Amino acid sequence: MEAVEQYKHERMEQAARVIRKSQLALQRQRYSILTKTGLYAVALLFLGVSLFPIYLIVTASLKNDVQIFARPPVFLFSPTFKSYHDVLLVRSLSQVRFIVNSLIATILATAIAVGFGSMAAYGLARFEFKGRKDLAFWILSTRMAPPIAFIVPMFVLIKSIGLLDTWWALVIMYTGMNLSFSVWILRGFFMDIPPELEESALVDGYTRWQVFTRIALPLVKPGLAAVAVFASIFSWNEFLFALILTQQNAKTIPIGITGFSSSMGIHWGPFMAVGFIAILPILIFTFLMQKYLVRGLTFGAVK
Amino acid sequence: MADVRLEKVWKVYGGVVEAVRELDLECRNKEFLCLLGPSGCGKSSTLRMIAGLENVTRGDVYIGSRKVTSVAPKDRDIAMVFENYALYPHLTVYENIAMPLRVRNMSKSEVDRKVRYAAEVLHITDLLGRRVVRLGGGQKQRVGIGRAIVRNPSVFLMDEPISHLEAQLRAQMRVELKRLHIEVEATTIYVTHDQLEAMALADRIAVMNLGELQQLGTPSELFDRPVNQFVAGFIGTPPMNFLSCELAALGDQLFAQGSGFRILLPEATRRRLLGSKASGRMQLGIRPLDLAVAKAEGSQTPVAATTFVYEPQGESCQVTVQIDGQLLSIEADGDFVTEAGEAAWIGFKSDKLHLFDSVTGANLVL
Repeated sequence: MEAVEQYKHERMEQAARVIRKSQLALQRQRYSILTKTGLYAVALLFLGVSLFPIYLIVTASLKNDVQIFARPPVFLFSPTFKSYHDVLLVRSLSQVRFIVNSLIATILATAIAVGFGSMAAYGLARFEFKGRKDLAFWILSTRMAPPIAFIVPMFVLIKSIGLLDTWWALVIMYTGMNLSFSVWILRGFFMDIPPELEESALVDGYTRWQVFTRIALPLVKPGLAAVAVFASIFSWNEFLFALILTQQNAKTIPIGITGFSSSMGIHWGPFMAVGFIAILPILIFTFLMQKYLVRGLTFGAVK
Repeated sequence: MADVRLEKVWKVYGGVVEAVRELDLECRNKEFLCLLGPSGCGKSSTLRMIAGLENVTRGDVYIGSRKVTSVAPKDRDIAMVFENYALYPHLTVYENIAMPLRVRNMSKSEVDRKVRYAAEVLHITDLLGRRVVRLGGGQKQRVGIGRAIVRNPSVFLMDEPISHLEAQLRAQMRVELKRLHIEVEATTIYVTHDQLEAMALADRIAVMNLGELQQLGTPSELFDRPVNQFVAGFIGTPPMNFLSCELAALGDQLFAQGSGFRILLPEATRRRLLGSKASGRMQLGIRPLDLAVAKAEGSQTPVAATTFVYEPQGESCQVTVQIDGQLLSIEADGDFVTEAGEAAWIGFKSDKLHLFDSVTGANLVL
C-alpha cells in the first residue's frame, strides 16, 4: 500500500517539477521579441475570428434594416431596440415561450444530472457491490450510440405515454443523455479523493450522507461545475429531439430560431436579436463557472 | 477506556485473498499494543476491522464488554489517526480538531475548551488559526492526533502515523507519542512495519505475517524468546544471523554442526532437545551482538572464518564474515580493525543460541 502511495507521490513531484521548469523557461524570455509579436498576432487573429460572428450578431440586432444591408458596412450608428421589442413583445413574432421552454428543460435536466448523477457517481466510486463494473460500463455505453438512431422509437414511446409536445419529454431526454456523462466524469473525481478523508469523518461521527454532502461534494466542486456547464450547453443547444418531440407548445429556442428563415425571406433584425438572446444565458453561465472550469477539466487527468 | 478483543477473526477479500486468518487478539485496558509486521501481513486490515471501516468476514470484535462486530464506526467510541493525516484541506487547525465535537452537537464553549486543551497537550496552540494546507508533515500529524484525543474515546487506533515523516522528526514524534500515552493513559492499538518503533513504544507487540499472528508478547519476550524464526529475524537491529546446521551428539555432549563449524550447545538445551524428536536440518540463530570476533584462535573464539566486509561505525563496527559460504554479521567494538579477506575467529555466546526447525521455523528450545 505504502509503495503505491510513495510511487504516486513521486510521480506528482515529477510532474510538478516539469511544470515549474517550463514556466521558468517561458518567463526567462527565451523567445525573441519577433517571436513574441508573432505569437500575439496569431492569438489576436484567432480571437478575432472567434468573436467576429458574435460581434456581427450583436450589431445587426441593434441596427435597422437599412443599416444591416448598407455597403460599405456601417460601424458607427445609433442603436435601436426595435428588433428586441419585436422578438419579445410582438405576439406573432414572440420568442418568449421558446425561451421559457428552453430554460425549463435546460435547468431541470442539468439540475437532475448533477444532483442524481453525483449521488450515482459516489456510489459507484465508493461502494463495493456485485456488478459494479458492469453497471459503470453500461452507463457509459448509453452514450456510445448516435442519438439519431433512436428518434423513431423515442417518438413512439413519448407519444404513447402522452407526453408529446410537453417539456417533460425534453427533460426526460436531456436528463438521460446528461446523466451518463455526469456519472462518468464525477466518478473519476470522487475516486481521486483520498478515502482516509472520508473514513476519518466516519470514525468521527458523520453518517454516510453527511460525508457525501459535507466532505465529498465540496471537494469535487470543479467536477460539478464542469458537468453543469457541459450539461446545460448540450441541453440548451439540442435540436434533434426538440424538433421531433415538440410541435407547438414545448418548442425550444433552437427550433424557434429556424422559424426566422422561412420561405418568405429572412427577417434579419429580429433573427439576430433572438440569436443573441439564445447565446446569452449560456455565455453568462459559463462566465460565472469559469474559475471552476479550467481546474475541473485538467484535474481528473492527473490520476 | 476499555479493552479490545478479537475472537477468531477472519478477513477474506473477494472470497479468495485471506488477509487475516483466525486471529485471536487482546489489547488490555490502557495498554499500548503494536501490530507489527511486513507489508501485506494483515495488520492494517485488522486495525480497520477494529475501527469498523472493513467488514469482518468471520469472527467477532469486542470493545469493552460490547460486541461491536456490526456496529458503525461512529458508534464504537474510537478515534483514528491515519498514515496520510486525513485532515480537511481548507479548514483551519481549530476547525479540524473541533469537527468531531461539532458533529455531536456540543456547546460552543465546551468545544472551545476541549480543542484548546488538546492543542496545549500537543504544543500546537499557536497553530490553531492556520490553514491546514500550510503546515508541515509533523505539524499535520499533531493536528491529526489532536483531532483524535479531543473526543476522549475508549480506544485510539493509529495506522502508521509517523511513517511518512523524515527520520529525525520520526524519532521526535516517537518520544511525543510515548509521553502522550503516559499522560492520557489511553488504550491504544498502533500499526507499524518498523520494529524499532514498536519496541520503543509498545507495552506488548503482536507480530503478524501473512495474515497470521506469530507471537504476542512484551518487547523483551519477543527479543529474548522468539517463538519462531520469522519473529527472531524480524525483531532486533541488526537482524539475527541464521546458519544451517544439524545436531551431532558426541558422548554426553550435543553440538550444532554445520559446514565449517561445530558449536557446543549448553546442557539445558541438550536436555530440552533430547525429549523432543528434533532431528535433521535446522537453523541456528544468533544475534550480531552475541558473537565475539578476534584475529586469532582462542578459547572464546574457536570457529575459523574469513572477513567478507568491514564497516566501521565509530563506537562500534560491523564485521561480516564468511564460514564456508554462509555469511555471519557481527557487532564488535570500535577498535577492532580488519579488512576483507583477512582471517577472523568467531565465538558464539552459548546462552544466546536459538535453534529453529528448518521446515516449520518453530523455536525448538522454548
